[in-house]
Amino acid sequence: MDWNKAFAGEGVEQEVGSSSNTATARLASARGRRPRLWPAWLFSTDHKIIGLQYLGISVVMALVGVFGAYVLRWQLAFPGTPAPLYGIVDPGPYNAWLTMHGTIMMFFVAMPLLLGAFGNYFVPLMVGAEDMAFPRLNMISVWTLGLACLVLMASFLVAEGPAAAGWTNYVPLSADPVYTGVTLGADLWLVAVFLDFAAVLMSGINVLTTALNLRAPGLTLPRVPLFVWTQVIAAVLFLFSAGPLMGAILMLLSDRHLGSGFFAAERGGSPLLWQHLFWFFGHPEVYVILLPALGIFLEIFPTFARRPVAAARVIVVALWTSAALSFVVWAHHMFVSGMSPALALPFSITTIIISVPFAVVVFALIATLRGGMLRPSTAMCFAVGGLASFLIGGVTGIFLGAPAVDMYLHDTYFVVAHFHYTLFPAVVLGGFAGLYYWFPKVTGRMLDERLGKWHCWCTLVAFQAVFLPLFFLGVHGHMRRVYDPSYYDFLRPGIFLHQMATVAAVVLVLSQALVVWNVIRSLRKGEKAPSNPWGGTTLEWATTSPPVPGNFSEPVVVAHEPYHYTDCDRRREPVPQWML
Amino acid sequence: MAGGLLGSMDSGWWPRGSSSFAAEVDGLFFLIAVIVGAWLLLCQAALFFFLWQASGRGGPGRLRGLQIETWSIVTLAVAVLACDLVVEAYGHPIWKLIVSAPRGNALVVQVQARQFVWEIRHPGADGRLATEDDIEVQNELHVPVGVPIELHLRSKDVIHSFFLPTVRLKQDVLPGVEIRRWFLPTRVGRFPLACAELCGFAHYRMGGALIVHDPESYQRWLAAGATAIGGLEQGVRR
Repeated sequence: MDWNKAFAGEGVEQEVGSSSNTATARLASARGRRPRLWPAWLFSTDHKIIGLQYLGISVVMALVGVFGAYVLRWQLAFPGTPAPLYGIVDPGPYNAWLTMHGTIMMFFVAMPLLLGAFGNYFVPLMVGAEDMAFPRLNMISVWTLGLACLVLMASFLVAEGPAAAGWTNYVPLSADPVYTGVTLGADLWLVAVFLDFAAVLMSGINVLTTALNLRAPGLTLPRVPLFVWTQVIAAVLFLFSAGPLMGAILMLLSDRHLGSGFFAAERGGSPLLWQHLFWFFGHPEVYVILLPALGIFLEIFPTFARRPVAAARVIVVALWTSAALSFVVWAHHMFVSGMSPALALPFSITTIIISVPFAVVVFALIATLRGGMLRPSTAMCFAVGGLASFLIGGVTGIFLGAPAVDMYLHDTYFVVAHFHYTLFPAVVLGGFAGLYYWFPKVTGRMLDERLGKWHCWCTLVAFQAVFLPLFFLGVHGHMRRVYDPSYYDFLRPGIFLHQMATVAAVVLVLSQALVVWNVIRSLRKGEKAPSNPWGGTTLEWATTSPPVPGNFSEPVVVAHEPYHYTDCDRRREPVPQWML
Repeated sequence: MAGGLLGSMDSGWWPRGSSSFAAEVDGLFFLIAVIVGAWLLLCQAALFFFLWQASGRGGPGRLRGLQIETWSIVTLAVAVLACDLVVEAYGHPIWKLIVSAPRGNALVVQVQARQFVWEIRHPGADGRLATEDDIEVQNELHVPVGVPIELHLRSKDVIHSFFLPTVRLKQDVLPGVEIRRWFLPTRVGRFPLACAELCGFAHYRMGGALIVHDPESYQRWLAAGATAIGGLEQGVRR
């Protein structure tokens, strides 16, 4: 301290130095400045801080992705007119925005939010561990993701702009700059996605090891909460599926710069190979995102319905089954790609059959409300709205799993509507459900429930108004990724639906001000949260809100399965897992 | 809402089919719509019924029948599987029909895609390709009604997707491979042709028309094409 004072050569603010006992504050006071928290925060290996870093990254990237969606929606509804805050949308930038919207939302928002933020923060808490198995690897993982984001964002600054071949990056369009006019941007896309995957792989290894090896005494596998199961299965899915696409990215970089011909027909390669490798990764990827969201619903439903999850063990079996099946369905994205039509039958069968394990999960969620004693809350509002919306996304997948109908609907707005109806409920509604559920645990403050309910209803209604019209455009034959639908006579009658969707999308974005205001207000003067505000039964509610460093002030021992409630005298009191 | 939308379009919101297999495809679509619509309604009804029941004052009392609950879930999932298999069994023959070789003597038309044009080579009066009287047109596919058409699809550069909405036919077109598909036009008229796979900055302008002639006007078109090909090469939008 003394040499530090002398080095700083300034007066020391004694009151700061004496009132604070953290190392950061001591150091800062010695230098005569206000405490600087950010180095400690940035270089933390604490899973909770890393979880919040993931959350920050996904929120920042979501702003970019949402802005992209706004630019696209404006051009579709009002072709050729200048978009407020942007200007005229040209065809080249339109393709770049549709590419970046998809890439950002899938790889830089959905995965960091559901795996990075929720997974990092809550898997160790829910298994009763004091941190992840490999804290430093965890830190490297989030840094790698940050680097990937910088690389991707840098592509907005280079000449010719970012990649413009769609988030699926099909070759040869993405392989040769002559086709899109994009040179460096396409390379930056490949590097950014590669780094992003490396980050998620590290995170997945951590989740898997933590959930398997650091469980509290008594937390046998059948007693592991369902959210942890979904995180484990998502980690396994990603570990098995990311390799082929990472390899494909290296092959494509090699095609672009070293003259190889893996994907170039004129050099003996195959453009379809990229699609196979992409979708071998791409379909499990959908479940990597979907399963943790279902995991959030599976935690919220029993807590607010005050009863055990229906058929909990069958759910775990169903989730593993869907994970296994997701590796043999990839070619349903390719029915009309030019692969052998004979392959359509096996892939169509597996695709349609994958609806069975998801039906089990959905039926079980619904049954979890049967005979419950509902405690209405914003988290439950988002969870029920998310499930009801996801159902629409789920059943519309059957149309696309039938090759003869897919031949008509493939690459139309029907597909766009279908996957937004699966991913939006998972990422956005699931994410908000998780936010309202776990915010008290993370911050020690309660959110305002009244504002929260308004936020929930506005989001749910606006979401339907954005994406329901797209189903109608799709069955009308409206191709996706079309810059100006008014070019086609047969698409012109549909523009009013585009306009409806765009207006609703603006309302959807604006109504998010409610949650921003709610969070700011609660952080500043929200009601203090008790350790278990909702009457949850899993281990994260055993510790203080927010959790102490090291998570649990005394060792936890697990006595039984989660989701137990007393069932007598017309009352339902939680019987938490740690209660003997 | 759906009814209102369908009624509000003068040509019908669901584009009327114009090929021999369009009716089968539409039938499969509506079969799936009925099956999944029923499941969707059932699930939403159950969800909101249990929600309503659980939010009642005092609650329903003791929770019973968890064992039966599990078995009901499994049974319902098996019912879903049965519905899946019905869709598969009904749909597969239609897919086989679409991707099979055409029956009878088909008129072969060659479609070559490049950024952002469909170059379409029609057989002339002799009905055969690669002869002197071939008629090459940009962005217009001319066919006689009631004759099976075999398309030989190729791409010069990137992947495009040859999409005839009213025919219910869509096929990606790849560089380095020739893909064959067929259809039988059943209605005379002018129908949209579009590119359905992102192929570059002017992808949205890679449209054209399928023009189905009655026998008389087809003969007139053949005659005009043989003498004044240049006049037709302008490439008509849409």
